[in-house]
Amino acid sequence: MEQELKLINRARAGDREAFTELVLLHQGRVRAYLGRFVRIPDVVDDLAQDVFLSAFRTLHSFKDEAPFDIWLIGIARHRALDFLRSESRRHARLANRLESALQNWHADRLESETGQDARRLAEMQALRECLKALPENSSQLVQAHYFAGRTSAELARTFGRSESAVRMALLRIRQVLRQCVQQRAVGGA
Amino acid sequence: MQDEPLKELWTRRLDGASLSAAEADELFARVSTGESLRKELMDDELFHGLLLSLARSEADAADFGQQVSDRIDAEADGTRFVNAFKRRMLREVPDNRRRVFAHPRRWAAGLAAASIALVLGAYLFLHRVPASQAELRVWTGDVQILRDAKPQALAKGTRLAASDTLVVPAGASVEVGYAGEQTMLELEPRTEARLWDEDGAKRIQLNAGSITADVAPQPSGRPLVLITPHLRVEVVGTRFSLEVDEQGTRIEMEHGRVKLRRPEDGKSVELTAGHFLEARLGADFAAQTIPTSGTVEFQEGLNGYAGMHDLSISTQGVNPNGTINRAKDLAVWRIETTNREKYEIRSLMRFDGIAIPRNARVTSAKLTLSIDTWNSDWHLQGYYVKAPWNAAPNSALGWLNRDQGKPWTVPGGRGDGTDVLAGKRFGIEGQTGKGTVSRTVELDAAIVQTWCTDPSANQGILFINPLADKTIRIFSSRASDASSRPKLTITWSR
Repeated sequence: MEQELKLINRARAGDREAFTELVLLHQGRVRAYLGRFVRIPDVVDDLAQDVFLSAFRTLHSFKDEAPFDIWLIGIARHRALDFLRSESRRHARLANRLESALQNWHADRLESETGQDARRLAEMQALRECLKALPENSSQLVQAHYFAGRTSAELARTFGRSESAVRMALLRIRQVLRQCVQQRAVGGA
Repeated sequence: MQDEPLKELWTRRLDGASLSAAEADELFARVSTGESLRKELMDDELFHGLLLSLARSEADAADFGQQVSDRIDAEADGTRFVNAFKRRMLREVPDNRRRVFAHPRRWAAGLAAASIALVLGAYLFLHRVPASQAELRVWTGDVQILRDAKPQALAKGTRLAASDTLVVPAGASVEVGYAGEQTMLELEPRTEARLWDEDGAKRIQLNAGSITADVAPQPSGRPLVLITPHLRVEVVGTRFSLEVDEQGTRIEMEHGRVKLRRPEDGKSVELTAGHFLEARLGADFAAQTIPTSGTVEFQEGLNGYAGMHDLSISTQGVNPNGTINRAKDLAVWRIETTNREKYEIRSLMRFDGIAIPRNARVTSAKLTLSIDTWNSDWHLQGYYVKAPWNAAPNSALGWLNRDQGKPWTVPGGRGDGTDVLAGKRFGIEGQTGKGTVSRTVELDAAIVQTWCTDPSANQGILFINPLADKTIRIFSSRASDASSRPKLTITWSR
């Protein structure tokens, strides 16, 4: 924390290397937070860059008494809200009712999470622990799909299963992870 | 979740697959009405996205940090002028101050000059044009800028606001540029576009029409983004052309590279020079090599072509204008020796709406005609028409006039260099007259090239029969057998 404050003060004084270190420290949380609501990884990264750029411009307004990552997540929440509302309108224009409604519901949910940024960060930390606690088979599937970038079709061929079976297995693993995260986050809170 | 088929649909959607309209409707109906189901599915999507981002952020943290750093650099570029000005002022103040105290009059003059410089600097700063704000450069025809549906006055350098729609009707064109860089956009006829600035990055929305973009290198992290209903194109610096219609979007790369993303499923493709991609229903979302040569045929009623105009003009009834005829065949003859009235008939032929791929060069052009004659040693002369003629059914076209109030320079359209191109003609001939024969003649490729690139230069061909009393008929675009109609064949390469 003390180290982070030093970096923030150096960045405020115009030290670009210090700000880059702050980016490296917090990019994972900001990107994961945005990734909850935005399905396209490239868009997540664009938005996350916007968040850090905005933070760089307004670093003088950051109050030292609040955790820096909570401040960043607050900026990210506003960026994500703008994006989701805009996407909802765009899909509505294209008569895509399903995607329009889903983006809108995500936006509503994000708005209702105001004040819960610390809890979201805790859940992200809990997820890392829950991933380690997965059974071997599930862990392999998650690692291959999410971390090694292998598609459902590739995994189906590797494991001799149908694509549908692979997707459904991943769905069940996500359910398990969700329950685990809720227990740990509530337990930790 | 209880419903297995619904879960299957949901996981397919998360996997990036396109759902059919019926599947999307079914999913929408279920999640709209079932609150607990909706919450469960959306929680699942949150975790799916969370896992994707978590993995990505672990894999490329350093790259991401560099990208943020690049964007900060790009933002600094935008204020480089102001900072340079400030530094220069700081450097020069000590010298000026020394001179000021040595020479009081120069001190007063210096103060006045500094005041003017400050006011000028402030004015330039406040009225500076962001590099990402588009400006009107050159236009032809009835181009409009609509702001809140109201047309705005056009002037060279007019800046486009975010709420403006640039409308380029048929027959018009416009070039748009950006202050301080070489980026140039050419909007072609029947195009509507919005161009705006988004946090210092250029944005273009194109719902219909065609655009050719020559994009200078863009600031790091701020690509020019072109958005169509079917495609999102991120451009760092390149030249490409893009066409949008109701069915889809086609983009061709001339040089450089762009990143493309399909909005409905987020699928990305990087497109490099010499390749094209079509984003439309049923087409693979994949780059394909641009063909370097090809042949296209235009024959009325075949392969969807319907742009031919052909008719005969005659000296008969020359007072006031001569008759015209639109029959199944085009008469071309000159009657001199019969006891009846002496008269001449010539024919005009034009293929409107011909097109070859953008930037393609016509390497050869051929005209195939079905010709009916019973005269031996017959001959036809073809002239490339220069002056526009009005083929509309009730127009004033005839032997004397090419349109209302516009006479041919020489009656019958034979004014060399005025009615027809000077020194450019071709011949078709035959030795025997046995009824219908097919003849293919090579046309001037350079002239046909102008027909393709500039529709106003496409005025077709005038056929004249130089030999008296040898009647010749050319099957017209109205011939019962479509294969007998005139056919223009163009071979192109690039």
